Amino acid sequence: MKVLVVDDEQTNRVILKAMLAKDAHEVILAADGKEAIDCFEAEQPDLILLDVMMPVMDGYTAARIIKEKSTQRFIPIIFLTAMTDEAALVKCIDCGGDDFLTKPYSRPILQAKIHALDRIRELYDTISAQNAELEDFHERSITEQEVSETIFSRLMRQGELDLPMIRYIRSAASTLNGDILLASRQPSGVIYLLVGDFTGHGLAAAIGALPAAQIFYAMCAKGFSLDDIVQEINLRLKAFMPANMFLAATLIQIDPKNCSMGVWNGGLPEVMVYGPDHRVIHRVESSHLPLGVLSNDKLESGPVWLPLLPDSRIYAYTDGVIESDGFAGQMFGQERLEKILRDAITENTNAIAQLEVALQAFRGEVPPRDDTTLLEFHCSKEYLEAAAQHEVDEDTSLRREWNFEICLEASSLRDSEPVGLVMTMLRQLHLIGPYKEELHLILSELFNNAMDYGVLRLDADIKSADSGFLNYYVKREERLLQMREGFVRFKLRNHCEGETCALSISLEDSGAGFDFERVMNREVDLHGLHGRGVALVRSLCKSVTFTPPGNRVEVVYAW
Amino acid sequence: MALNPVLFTQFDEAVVSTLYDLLGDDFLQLLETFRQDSSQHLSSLGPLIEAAQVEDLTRAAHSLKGISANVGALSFSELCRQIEFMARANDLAGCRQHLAGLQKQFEAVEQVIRECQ
Repeated sequence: MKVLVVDDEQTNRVILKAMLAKDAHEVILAADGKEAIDCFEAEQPDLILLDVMMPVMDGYTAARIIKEKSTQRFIPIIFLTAMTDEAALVKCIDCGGDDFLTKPYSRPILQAKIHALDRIRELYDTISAQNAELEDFHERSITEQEVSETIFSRLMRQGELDLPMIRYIRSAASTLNGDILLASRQPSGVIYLLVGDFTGHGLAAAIGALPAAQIFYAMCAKGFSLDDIVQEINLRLKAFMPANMFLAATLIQIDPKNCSMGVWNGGLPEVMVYGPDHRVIHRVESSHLPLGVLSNDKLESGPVWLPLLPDSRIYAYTDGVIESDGFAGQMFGQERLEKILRDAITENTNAIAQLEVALQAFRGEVPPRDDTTLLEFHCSKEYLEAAAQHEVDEDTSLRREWNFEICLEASSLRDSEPVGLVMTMLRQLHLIGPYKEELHLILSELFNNAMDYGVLRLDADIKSADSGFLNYYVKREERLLQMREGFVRFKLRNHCEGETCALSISLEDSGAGFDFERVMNREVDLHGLHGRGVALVRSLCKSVTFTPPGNRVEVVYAW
Repeated sequence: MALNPVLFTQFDEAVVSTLYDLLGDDFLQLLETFRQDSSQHLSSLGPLIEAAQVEDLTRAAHSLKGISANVGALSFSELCRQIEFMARANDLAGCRQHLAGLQKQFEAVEQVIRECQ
């Protein structure tokens, strides 16, 4: 350790230096307070032994100045004093002294004091290092929070929450919200809503909001079903979020064309639908686990479908609303919420504004413990009329003429899903909404036939034998692996003649064809296990035509 | 070199042996330093008493007390302490009275140091 000894008496300096040097300390000497300060600045000692009475500058003054200058480090000062005067000793401590050493100097006592002070110095160093780290961390966390807040608020602004049918309350317990509120509208008038509550608040919750919101907006824009959206968000959250993080959410799809609404509630309080008579006509309780908990095969993603009545109101909210703490220690509660909503609806006033006032009054000065989100959707007559108008317009999109062709070769056939690919293209053309199921069925049947009997040249009769299906699939796997060449070509064309428009779908494969006349003429048992494909397609389409030798089929689907 | 036992007539044995352990032969050098410094302080005491410069007088007595205690000249240090105390209390007559005793004591200390050299 480097020790600065400050004493005006040569005798004292010699003795102290000898004592310290014996313990392998490095010793610097100064003869008065002024010199001490110069040495302190030049040498940065770890400990100072300081005499009180000295010429030029006394020990008190020197101690005060040195302590002022050493804010970054703890540099202990031991006053050298023979004084028994209590007031003088107190003054030593007031000036920043940490201990005393009285004359005559005792080496063991000096050693003990240095040891004790060194321990304090180490502690001080550790604490100031930790403090610096903490300060650094604090600064970083504030920056990170600001960044995530920006991302979060941009995400929330992305949607269509400013639609006239939508009103909401959204308030955060901490700067960063753990609740999400998303809305998306399709040109057809279909509206998707999502009210969600991530476990926890702040940054962790905001991180989860990012994929959830992206999936929601992307899939809504493409007209996916509520079912698909629930599946996809669940899949992504389950895959990427830690096990203890999930999203309790209500997803709602409002379909004005079919006058219906789908509600999926996983872990949020019951969704309430107020009818035109101002009473609750439906309650959709949570019947699923939150998103991100179960794997997709265990998740029931099907929504509850309800009729959409004109002038009805839908309320979805997070538990922060009913669990709000009041100043009197009780919770806001479901009953209070429903009374406020019913009164407001009956009096035809803004229920959200009323509720906001009531929540504020109820909480008083109590800071909110949880994020609070409540969404109102008013199925107004204006909204329904606008949607009806759009329905007329939508017919025109079916009247657009277009065609496309896509050919998949062996390597693509082995590991891609051509039917899904074609369905995506149709979806991009905004065509398939209500026709989705049927088109999917037709495409799948045609493709399977082209693939199995055409490209892979499997014999359909294998299925008829005992354990035929098993043999069939074993063979199919084998051939699929061996397949080196072959193709399936899809041609789709939307064509109008006068008022009627139809979609023609043609599939051609690299196979040798088959006796299609036999199949076409056969009386097919619709409930049989095989041969069902063609019959099903025939029942859905206006026409089915095979071209010899049977490796090309064309069907016409009337819209 | 062993210490001359005559030292212990004026110096505390424990303090001296500690310093001797620490300094070895340099101990004699320390005694000489002490002798010169004390002699200087001591000669300033008389004029300061006459000039009634109480503050400087206190400071000199204080220094003298400190260095003598550190080398183990405890009786001498005790006399210094009394003079410092009286100076602080502005008792110049007391100081004058004790000064003679202090000088006598110092001569004895000096004598012992000289004998050791």
